[in-house]
Order: sequence, then C-alpha cells, then structure tokens
Amino acid sequence: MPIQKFRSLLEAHKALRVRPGTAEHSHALRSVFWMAARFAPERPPPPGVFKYRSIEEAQAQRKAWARGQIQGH
Amino acid sequence: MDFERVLAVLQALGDNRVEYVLIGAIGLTVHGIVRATQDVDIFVRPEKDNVARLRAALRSVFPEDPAIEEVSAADLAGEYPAIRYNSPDGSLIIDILARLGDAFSYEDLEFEEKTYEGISVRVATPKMLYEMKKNTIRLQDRADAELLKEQFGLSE
Repeated sequence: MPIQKFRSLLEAHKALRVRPGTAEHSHALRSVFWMAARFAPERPPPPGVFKYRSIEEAQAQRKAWARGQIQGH
Repeated sequence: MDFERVLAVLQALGDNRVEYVLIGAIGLTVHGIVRATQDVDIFVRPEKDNVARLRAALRSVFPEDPAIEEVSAADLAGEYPAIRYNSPDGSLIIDILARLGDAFSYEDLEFEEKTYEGISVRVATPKMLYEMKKNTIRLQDRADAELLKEQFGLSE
C-alpha cells in the first residue's frame, strides 16, 4: 500500500496506530527513535538529579535547555 | 534518548519490584500510539522502601553514578514531587513524579500490566492518560489527548 489518502490529519494519525506486541509495533518504535536521533539530535542536558516543585517548573527547565541547544547550534 | 536504554530501565524497574506507573509518550507507545519523545515519565509511590528500590533499579543501569542517591522519598512526598534524572552519558532522561498538582497522585492512577518489547510494564490505562493530558496547557499533551480519545473511543 504505497499511497494512502486521508480526509484529515487526525485520520492519518489514526492509521499510524500499530497493534502492540507485533513486529510492526517493534519496528515502528525503533524507527521513530532512530529518526529522532538522526534528524533531531539533542545535546544531552546536564547530567544529575534535578528537583522541582511542580511539573510546570520541570517543563520550563526542559524548554530552557532546549533553547540553549538551539542557540548553541 | 536511547531506546534500548529505556528498555533497560523498564526491565530494572520490574526486576526491583518498584511500584511505578508509566505515563507520558512512552506510555502512549505501549498502547500502540508511537511518537518520538525526549524523556521517560513515571509516577512512583513516594514511600521510603519503594524509592530505595527505584534507586537500586537506576543504579543497576548506571552503576557509576553517585547522583542517583539524591532521589529521595522525602523530596517526592514533600516539597519536590517532580524529580528529573539525566544520566551521565546523555542516553536517558527520566521524570519521576509523585503527584501532579492537586489532580493526580500515585494512588489515583489506573494502570494495567502489559508486555512491551518482551518486558512486563505497569502503564497507565488509555483513559487515565487521556484524563491526565486533556486539560493541560502544552499543545503536545492536548494533541495526545485527542488521539487517545479518537483511538480508544473515550468520552468526556
């Protein structure tokens, strides 16, 4: 099935769902991680343990690290 | 993030009998919604023995890292309900949560045990993931919530 057509992006996303536990699922997982590493490599954040009063605070720090990564490139 | 390292940590959590629940994007992938992510998100029961088992699990994957000792039940149960561990080699980022605001704590989570790449994992149910994501500010979470709703026929 080389070409699939969809009426919406949501429909397209829905078609990407794979049945857990299948070889297709395993392949999709590894492909996604491989692509992310290949096309959007991250500079590793500082190592260690970081503590936050809320998940929002944790997310803000992730954003700050990501901004640093973009500026650094 | 190194996927094989993610699997190693999930295996270690099981081997060390950690009471945890996988949430976030890795949780989605267990249910068949595969998307990239930069970290692993887990809820843990913030009790001393359980957090000691969590540290043991992390040490089994990163044996040379003394920073792991800084993960404490006192922090998780108290002032710091979110702790992030970044491994020394940059292969893994794990967010360890004990509660999300006033809305969710470990005890509130509905989860199921599933096999993921041959590993038994404790993962939040699709409905639970939807509940956690639907009212958040982050666009990615809202998109995930919409997908969960559509794919699992969830209602409000």
